[in-house]
Amino acid sequence: MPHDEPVAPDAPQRSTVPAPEPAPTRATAPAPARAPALQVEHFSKTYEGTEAVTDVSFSVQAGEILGLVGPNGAGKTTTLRSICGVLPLQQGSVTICGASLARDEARAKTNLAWIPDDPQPFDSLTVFEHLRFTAALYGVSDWERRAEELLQRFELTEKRDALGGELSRGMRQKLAFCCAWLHSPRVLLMDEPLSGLDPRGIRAAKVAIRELSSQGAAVILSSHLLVLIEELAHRILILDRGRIVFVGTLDEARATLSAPAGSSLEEIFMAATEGPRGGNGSGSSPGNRDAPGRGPSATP
Amino acid sequence: MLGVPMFGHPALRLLIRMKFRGALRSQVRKLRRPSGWLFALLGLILFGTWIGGFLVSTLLQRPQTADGAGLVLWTQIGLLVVGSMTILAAFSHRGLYLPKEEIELCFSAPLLRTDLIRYRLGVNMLRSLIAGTLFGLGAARRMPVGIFAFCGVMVTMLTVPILGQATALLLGDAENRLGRLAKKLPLRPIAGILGAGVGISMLALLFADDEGLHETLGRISPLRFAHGALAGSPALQVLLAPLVPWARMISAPDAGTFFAWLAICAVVWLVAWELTARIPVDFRETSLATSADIARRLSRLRRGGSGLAGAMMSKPRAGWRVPWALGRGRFGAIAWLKLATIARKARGAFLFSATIVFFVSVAMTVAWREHTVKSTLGGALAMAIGGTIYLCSGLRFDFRNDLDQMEQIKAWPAHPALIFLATVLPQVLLVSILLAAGILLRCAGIGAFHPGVVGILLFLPLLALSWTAVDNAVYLFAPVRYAPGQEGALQHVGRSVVMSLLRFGLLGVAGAVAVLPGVLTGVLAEKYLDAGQTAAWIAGGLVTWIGLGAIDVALVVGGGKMLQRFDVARDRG
Repeated sequence: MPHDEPVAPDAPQRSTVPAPEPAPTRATAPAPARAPALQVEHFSKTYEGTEAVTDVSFSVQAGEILGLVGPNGAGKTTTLRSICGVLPLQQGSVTICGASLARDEARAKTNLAWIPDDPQPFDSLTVFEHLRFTAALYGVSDWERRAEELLQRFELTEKRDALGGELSRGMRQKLAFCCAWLHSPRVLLMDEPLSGLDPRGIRAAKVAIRELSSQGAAVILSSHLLVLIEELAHRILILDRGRIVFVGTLDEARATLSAPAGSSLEEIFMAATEGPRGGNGSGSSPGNRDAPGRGPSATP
Repeated sequence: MLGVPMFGHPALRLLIRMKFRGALRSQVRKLRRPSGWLFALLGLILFGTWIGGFLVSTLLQRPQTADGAGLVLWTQIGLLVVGSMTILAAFSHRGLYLPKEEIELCFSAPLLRTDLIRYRLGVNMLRSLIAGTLFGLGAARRMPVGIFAFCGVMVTMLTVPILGQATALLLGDAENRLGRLAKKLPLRPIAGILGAGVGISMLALLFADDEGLHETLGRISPLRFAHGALAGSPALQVLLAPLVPWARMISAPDAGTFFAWLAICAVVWLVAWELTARIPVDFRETSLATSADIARRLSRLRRGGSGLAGAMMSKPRAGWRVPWALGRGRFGAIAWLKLATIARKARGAFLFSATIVFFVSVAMTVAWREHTVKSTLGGALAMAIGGTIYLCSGLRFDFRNDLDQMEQIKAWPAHPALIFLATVLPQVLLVSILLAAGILLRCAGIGAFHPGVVGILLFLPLLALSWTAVDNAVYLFAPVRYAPGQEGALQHVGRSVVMSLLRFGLLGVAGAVAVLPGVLTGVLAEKYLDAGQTAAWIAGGLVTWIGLGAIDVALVVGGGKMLQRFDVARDRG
């Protein structure tokens, strides 16, 4: 119970410079480091007797983008909200940059940023005040210059003094990006991050995500936009009815799920999640371990 | 715990300052528009009248010089009431309440839970300063030394939020365990048996003979019971004992006594603050539920759902087959949608209203048990008018519930007036049925009936439709979205006054236009056509009924126009 443990003083204070978007190429996985930036082990979550997530284990390396996909109600948001500490961990463990979320929660969260699917800004605070508050929250010094950079990058400069309550859905999303990027997190969790963004916003977001990853941040990207996942993610994790049905690269998915070479993530997704729906927690892979290429057909 | 600031994380203190500044800034921005100025001015006048009236009455009141012991006792009882209300309020804020815009941010940020508790304690204490000022001014005139009383009340009011927060945190922790226990108990049958018991008792009262009733009421006089309990109850003394320091501080007759008790209260405050901040409870799950619950309630309030239907929203439950009572066409479909919503989401509010009507019928039977025409018709008329106003204000199953669906509603392939009528008609019918049942129950209770009651029953749907149509038309004209604590309170008060005046003005005009021809017809029929009194009444009633019906048609058409005018793009509900 980290009720009164001190906050870790070493909040990262890196700075980035906007870069043009590289040509969309298939992402290649970074070389695995010794300790993953994010490690989830045997995580389970139950709501009033209903299993939402069952025995999920996986890890994300520094510099890696993991695409989290699954049908509605698969447990993606529950998993992300538990990893970032919004929901308490019922079972299992989460380690962020070496800090246990259960034992050293504040230190673990110092390295983390979370963008929910529908960010809610403060009605009476301006856009710039949101950044000021975030800087205070994460102990970012010399934040003004970086805040201005981020506002420019996400095309919010004109809205600098607009109140949170006046922002449209897309603007709120952009503000959430700015706040998340401000302290240069080492682990970034995003739930449907591009919903509500205009094409320019989507492009800026994709560039920013790639850039953050290339600077060594581990990113989990949850989305139903499979093309986006295919474009950005080094590996994919398919959740279905609270269980992992596959985790690995696209090529591994094709091999494991007997999909033809060159088949898209959409086809792989369909193959991985087909079967009667409406049940609960009846995934076909009991192990749910983070073994590359593990899928339904790999189940013993 | 060393290194944790007593008043929490600096970022959260910054947030408090920025939110305060933001609220002021929003207020200033609202004043840029002429309507903002006007409504603010009206609001200021009303606030000023209220606070001024309170201050004047306080200052004009003669200082009361009760004996020391009596003063302390009554102060303790006052504090007990405040404390009990705080504890009761904590039931609806289990865990640590954080607004929806703060909860995800704070829970995912590198903050200690103790920081969050300290932050909420600070916010709650700042809010209680307003209540403290009002109570302090009131106490200042009643206690031996005004300034000590005022300061004492302020210190007390700064302690009360700590009690509330500690209770909420402990309740949140106990909720899961108690929740599991409650699930095992047969709560529905228990509630059913209790409800049936109360109902049977009321029916017994309704049909009991007068002498037996008076004897029964005399035996269970609540005032006599309360006086007996207060006289020297050891249980009450035990309850009041912990409140002695605050009561003594507020009622201190001299500086020595005041500062001695103030020191004790300050120490208690400090200890309570630290202990509450360190309660080792993981409140996240309960807080998320509480935050979502309160966000829903605030959203309903902002939509104007301030009546009973807004407060007592049941958990939606499928499975109830709702009949297509008004046909299977477009009109019937819209009305069915409304009926299904009532049946699945507002059962509690409906049953509560039915109970109120039942109790009112019983009370009116007991209080006015005469077998005369005056009693029969007077009671029915009072129930019809009073009941329509009360139920239509409480059971609001109208456009206030539908503000989030306005985009779809405006795209429905039906005339706006038809949509308007189909939306308000289920509420009108339910109110009419409830009131008709209440009126007939009373007639059965007093054992008398008059044909005029049938006339009153025929007026019920028209009365309810008039009220509901005006209410909804005005609401659609200028939807007021406000919840307590939201910015723009001044403007809201001013705007509410204007809207209420508009509503009552419209109702007054509609009523006059409907009633005057009827009265005129009755008088003319009696004087110039030599019709009997009964015939004149019937003729006058018929003309009024037709007039009210015509006005209702006009109101529905007007409501349709307002629906047509409603701009979804401008809605920021």
